[in-house]
Amino acid sequence: MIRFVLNVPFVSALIVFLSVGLSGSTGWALTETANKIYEKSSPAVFQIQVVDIFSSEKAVIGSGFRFSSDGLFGTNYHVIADAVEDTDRYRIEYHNENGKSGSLQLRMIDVARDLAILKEEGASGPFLEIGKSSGKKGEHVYPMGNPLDLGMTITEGTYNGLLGTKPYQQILLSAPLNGGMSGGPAFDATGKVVGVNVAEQGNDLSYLVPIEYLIRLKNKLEKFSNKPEWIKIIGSQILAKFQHFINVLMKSSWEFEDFGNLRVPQNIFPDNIKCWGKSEAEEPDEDEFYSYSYKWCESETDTLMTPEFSTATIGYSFMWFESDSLNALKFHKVVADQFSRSYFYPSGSEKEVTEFACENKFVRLAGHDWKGAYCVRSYQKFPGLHDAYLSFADVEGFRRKHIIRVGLAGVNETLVQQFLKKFLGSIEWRE
Amino acid sequence: MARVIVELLHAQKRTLEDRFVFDNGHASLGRAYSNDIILDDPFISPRHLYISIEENQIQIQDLASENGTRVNGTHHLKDQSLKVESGDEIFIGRSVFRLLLADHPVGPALRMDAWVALRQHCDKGWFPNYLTLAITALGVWFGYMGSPGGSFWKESFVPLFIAYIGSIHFFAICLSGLAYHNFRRVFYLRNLMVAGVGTLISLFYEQIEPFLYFWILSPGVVVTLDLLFSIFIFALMFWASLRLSGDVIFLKDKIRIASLAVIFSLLIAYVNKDIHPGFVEDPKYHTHIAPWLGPIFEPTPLDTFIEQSGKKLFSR
Repeated sequence: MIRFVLNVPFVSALIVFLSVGLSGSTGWALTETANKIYEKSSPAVFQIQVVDIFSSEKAVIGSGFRFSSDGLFGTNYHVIADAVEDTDRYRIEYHNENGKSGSLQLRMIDVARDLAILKEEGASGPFLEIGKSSGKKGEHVYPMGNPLDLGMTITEGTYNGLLGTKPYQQILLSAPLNGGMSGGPAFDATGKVVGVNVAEQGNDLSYLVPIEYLIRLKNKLEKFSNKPEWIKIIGSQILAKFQHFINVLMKSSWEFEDFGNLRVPQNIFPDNIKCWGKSEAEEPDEDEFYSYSYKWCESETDTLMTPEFSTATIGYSFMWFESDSLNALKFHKVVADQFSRSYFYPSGSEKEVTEFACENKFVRLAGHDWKGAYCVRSYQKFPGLHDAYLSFADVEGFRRKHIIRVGLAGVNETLVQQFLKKFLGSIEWRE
Repeated sequence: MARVIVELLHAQKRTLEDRFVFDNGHASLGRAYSNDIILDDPFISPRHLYISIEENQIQIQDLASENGTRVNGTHHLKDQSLKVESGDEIFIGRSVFRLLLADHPVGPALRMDAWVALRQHCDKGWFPNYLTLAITALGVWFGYMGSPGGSFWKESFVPLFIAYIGSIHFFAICLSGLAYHNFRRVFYLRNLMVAGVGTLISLFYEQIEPFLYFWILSPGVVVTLDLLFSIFIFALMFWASLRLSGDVIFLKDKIRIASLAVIFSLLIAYVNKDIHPGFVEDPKYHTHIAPWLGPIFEPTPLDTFIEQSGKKLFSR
């Protein structure tokens, strides 16, 4: 009979990969510089196609570029992820405007930074010059690629600095990137590559992977076996990224603030996590029978593991509820209903993840009694990787009830334990 | 002359359909209008069977009938006579009879118990109807407690009222169907009362559920108990319905009640998604919280909870 349920909106505006299926194009007056760069670079920039072997038709398109004399190509991991997941069903090809094409072998991936290195065996050709990702805000950057299979294009944007923490930074760019340009190079004014197109968000906000990460990945190629186990590599890269998160979080000292009867951490990782909040007062005349307030923090970006599954996120929320108009029983039903809602883990089918298993206990947290649930599920294809979700509802006060939620996706036990002890242990109760 | 009693039984259920008493101690059966008992069954011959009493024992004589006569499923007569015991069943055509002597033993009288008294209340009409209204009012009041004010009277009152009245009558119709199947009468008012009481118990159960399950931290156990309660309520309703309609409950009725209750409860649990086969993406954990209740034993310290539960969950 609880009809007046609180709906927590999906607050984060998700960043969209530059994969095909987006629409709209921008009329863009190109400058002289862009023309020159296009002329000079177009022999080394290609459309990358993941081709379905059975139908011989392209399944995914993106862009890519040759960046070494021995025929190495750079692109995004998410462009060729299908071919990594199912090597028997897909092959990778490159094509350009002049009808030049060939097939490519996958040599190395970096799922955490969304990069892939491909190689054309026994062939070489013109390649691009490598620049530096560090620039000044406002400098011009020229991303190139093949949007929506319409043909090779170059656009112009402005450099807006590096986002995130080393070594997982991205370049923020104001430029109109479209689906299909993923994996294409972005040039500075001298025609050197500064980054790899990766994602766009909202109006003309785009993201590049700094070119240094691609070069670093290339330097690892020699140490690398010829028959790589992609599953292991993907798993260890996700864990390494999470380990990095946790290291930063364990070292940093957090700011705290009052929330309800609690004293809770503010945004613990502003480079990666964004926080939102909302409060509603109780107004029985308008069918609001309880007041509530929430604080909601979660990772802004996730990491694509397989074409259907993204992970490596952290999220947490604090909520409190109060009610004068509901009797104690009904009020607790409202809170119980909220307590049963879980968030902060990626959506996945039974092919990707197992079902959650939960431990339920009465827990002493911040000097008070709570009902707590600790739930964990495993990744089907990546042994050793898990999602963890915890939720706590206080069982002491009658006037005001609190709910705490935390979720970590793409982790192992050690990382979860380290984080939870610091995070949950830092919460205090103030009278 | 000793009296002979011929009872016509329902072919499947063997319940009494009709009874004939012959004080002269003999009777003839068949399709012809000259018989004492005239039967329409096309598999019975015009002159089929003659019943008489010889030395205080029933004797039957098959009159060279087309399909013969069977006794208790053991003997098969055709143009023969046979002595049978009082209470034996005889089969001719598709019809079943029981033959009895006047001194056939009968059981002691049943006590006029509370059930019989209750039936009389139910049959008054106003009683089950007022009860339905009262339970509906209670349900609506519980609904109002969940949203006390605002647009409740404008928007929720009528649908809620109709939903309660409707569901009580729906159950009463189901139970009446069952009663008709058993007794060829629907006993609607009695079943309306049973449905009302069942709804009332469920309504209270729903309110006290958070208290009942507060300390049972295993969601599996909670779902099981919930299911058992639901089976219990349904069984109670079916039993009460049968008890109010019929006089005696046999073992086969009890078995039928239990299986119906299990089927209904599983259906409801399936619809409510308490149980369902297949993959569930979201975690299922214990979420019952209730006012005034807290942990009985010392709660687990946070670090122990993180370490021990984590160890268990990750090593799964």
